[in-house]
Amino acid sequence: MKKLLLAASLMTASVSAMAVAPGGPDCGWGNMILKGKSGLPMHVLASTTNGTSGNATFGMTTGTNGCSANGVLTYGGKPMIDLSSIMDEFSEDVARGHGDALTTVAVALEIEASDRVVFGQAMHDNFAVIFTHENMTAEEVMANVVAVMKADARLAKYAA
Amino acid sequence: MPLDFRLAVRLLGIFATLLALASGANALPADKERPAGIQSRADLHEVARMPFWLRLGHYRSSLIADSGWRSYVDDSRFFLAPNGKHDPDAELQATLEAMFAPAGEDNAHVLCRYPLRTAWLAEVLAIAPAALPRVSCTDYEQWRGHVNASRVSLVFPSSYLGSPSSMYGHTLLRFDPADVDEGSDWLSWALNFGAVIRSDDNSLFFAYRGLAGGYPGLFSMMRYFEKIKEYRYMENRDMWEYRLNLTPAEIDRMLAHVWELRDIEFDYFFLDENCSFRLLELLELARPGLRLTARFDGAVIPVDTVRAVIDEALVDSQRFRPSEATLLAQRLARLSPHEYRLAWELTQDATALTGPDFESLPAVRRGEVVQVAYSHSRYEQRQQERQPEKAKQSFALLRALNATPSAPMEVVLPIAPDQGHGASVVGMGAGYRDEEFYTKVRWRYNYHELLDPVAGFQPGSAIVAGRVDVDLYPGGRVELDRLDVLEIVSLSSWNPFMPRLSWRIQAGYERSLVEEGRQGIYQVNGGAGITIAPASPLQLYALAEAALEHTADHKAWLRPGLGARAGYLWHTPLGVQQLEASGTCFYGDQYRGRLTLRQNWDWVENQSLRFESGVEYAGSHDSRFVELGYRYYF
Repeated sequence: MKKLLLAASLMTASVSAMAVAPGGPDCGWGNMILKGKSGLPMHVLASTTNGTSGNATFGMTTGTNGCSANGVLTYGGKPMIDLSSIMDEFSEDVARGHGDALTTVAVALEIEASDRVVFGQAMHDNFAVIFTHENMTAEEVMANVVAVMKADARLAKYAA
Repeated sequence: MPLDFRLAVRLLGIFATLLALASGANALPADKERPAGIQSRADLHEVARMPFWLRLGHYRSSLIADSGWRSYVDDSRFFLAPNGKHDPDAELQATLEAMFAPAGEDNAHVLCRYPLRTAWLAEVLAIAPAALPRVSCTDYEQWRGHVNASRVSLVFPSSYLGSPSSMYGHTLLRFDPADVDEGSDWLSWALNFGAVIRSDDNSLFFAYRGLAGGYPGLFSMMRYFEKIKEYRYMENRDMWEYRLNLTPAEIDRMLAHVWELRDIEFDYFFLDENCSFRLLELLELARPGLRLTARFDGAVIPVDTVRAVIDEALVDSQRFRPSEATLLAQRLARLSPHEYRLAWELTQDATALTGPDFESLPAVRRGEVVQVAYSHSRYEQRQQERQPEKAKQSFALLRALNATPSAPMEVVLPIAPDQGHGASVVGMGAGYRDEEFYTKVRWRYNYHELLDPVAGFQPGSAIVAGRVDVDLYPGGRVELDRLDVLEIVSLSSWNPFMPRLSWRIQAGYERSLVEEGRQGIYQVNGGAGITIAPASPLQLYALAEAALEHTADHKAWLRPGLGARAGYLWHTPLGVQQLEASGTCFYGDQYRGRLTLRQNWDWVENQSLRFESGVEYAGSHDSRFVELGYRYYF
């Protein structure tokens, strides 16, 4: 997964990340946690066409969420997998201390298999530090995740 | 790949000659002594009729087209020859010529655009790599780098509760990297074929166009977690994943062809040229010996394509990924009545978290209760726009979830959809109605009725498209008993955590008792109501209904009515039992009622026996019947 964001790029200030986050509110890194219906096609549509709304994407970029014109999602100026759409699932897994979304974020951050338990535990233990209120954006969550990693002896190397 | 070496050498000769003539160029190290002749053109024609070439162009034989061929691809950009859609020969010629064109701009060469087509032609015609121009295909290489696949799974999202029309399901492919088991399949790539809906479309036409064509169908790829979000979280559809035993070379062929189909439009048809059919075509290109598309003549039901893939020994292993609704239902079933009540209180008022009732529970049980309350709050809010108050409440429960113990859940595995009965039915029966014996002959196009064997289906869900029952009476009288165009029934058990309505709709022709006697009636009826499940195998339901009917005898051309229906479905070990009472008051003070008892025996796989008995009332008349029928599913 060399094409992914190295945690280093996460380190660039979250303020600057804001400036390049594509889309805006409810889009990409602007997505709020605990979100509602995301404008998916109505069910009858989904069941007769299995379709997608908007333009078809083709996995050409590391992150495609339909929010930006060219489908590239950046964080701190670097391309990365757009994890913003799984922040709800991530928050639940962090609260519980286990789950697929937690593993997925660890893998996307290129945390080695041997350190993933440490990552999961650090996230779980710092739930209150990462998730401070109900109206956070995905981008704010990511910034807090990186801050927790930096403060952890085993995880700092993935965030530096 | 069948390869006639002598043929290849000859063809190469033709090409060298053609090319030399056309451009005076130096491209081919050629056998110039062999003249190009009709014989050789015939040989090239032979290559253009090889199954693999026809598959590469998605050609099928056509009675309408003059050439006898027609491609499924409805996009002129896919073809190199102007008449490529109808002419596999011309397309082959055009491809061959383009292969030898000078390299030009990066990524633009036909060798970059059609990696599989050109590689196959080069192999069949024994064109040495050195004979072809050196081209730089960075886009393709970069894409293959991203979609770094060494395993492929066929994914089947099954139906969601409350929407039997989704029972037909869907299929997509997932491409996993080699180390997926040590990583996360959420990050794998999903390949989906679906209609692309422009956002300015009027929603009224969605379903119509989906059925009748008119939407372009395209392949798209996205991270698998986008699909997990869509099915598991938003639509509450369980996902079944079938890991295929494709080899690296086969996956390589498949992806090379997927690239050829990038941004290429097919017309999308719900019934036949749908998501699942296109995936079968890809599988046949990956492993040419497979017999998949040929099994389907007419409708392509996604679960049947899963069965075909299993039948062709493509499946290694199977995995179940439950939807959030399935998880919530299973969690609810494991709560004691006391815990159930507490969980409900938490969903209404998060301050109950500090109440004595909650705090006196063992820590592990507190975790379960909070999980149920949180899952419910998310289940509810995923159906609506984000509401700040609800988000606040969810967040309080999320914090509580963090403060209580949690263990990964052991999921009860349902029976896989591929284990379900066949969608079509033929049947025979014998019955006695109003002092006459009759023989019943029945046929159903698809898909599942309430009484059918429930394994692999959602209990209480039914969808029927096309059903005909004919009664034969002694003396040769033949009566069409019913002809259903469509029937959909959704009996979703209601509980406060997942408060779902039940509903049904039916349209067709039916012989019914009216005041004038038994008559054929064209009718449409439907309604909505509530189902409860006092015990898991038993569902009690009650619906309020409306009906509209037409018979030749009516004074009014159309006759509306209002009614109600109630009954139970009991999923016994033998099979489903149903008792149902219904009554309708039609315009003109016509009252009609019906009481029916049915018991199915799931006899052996894909066969069943059904006992049915009922009485109909219309004004002062009544009509009774009893029938025993046999059904074969295929």
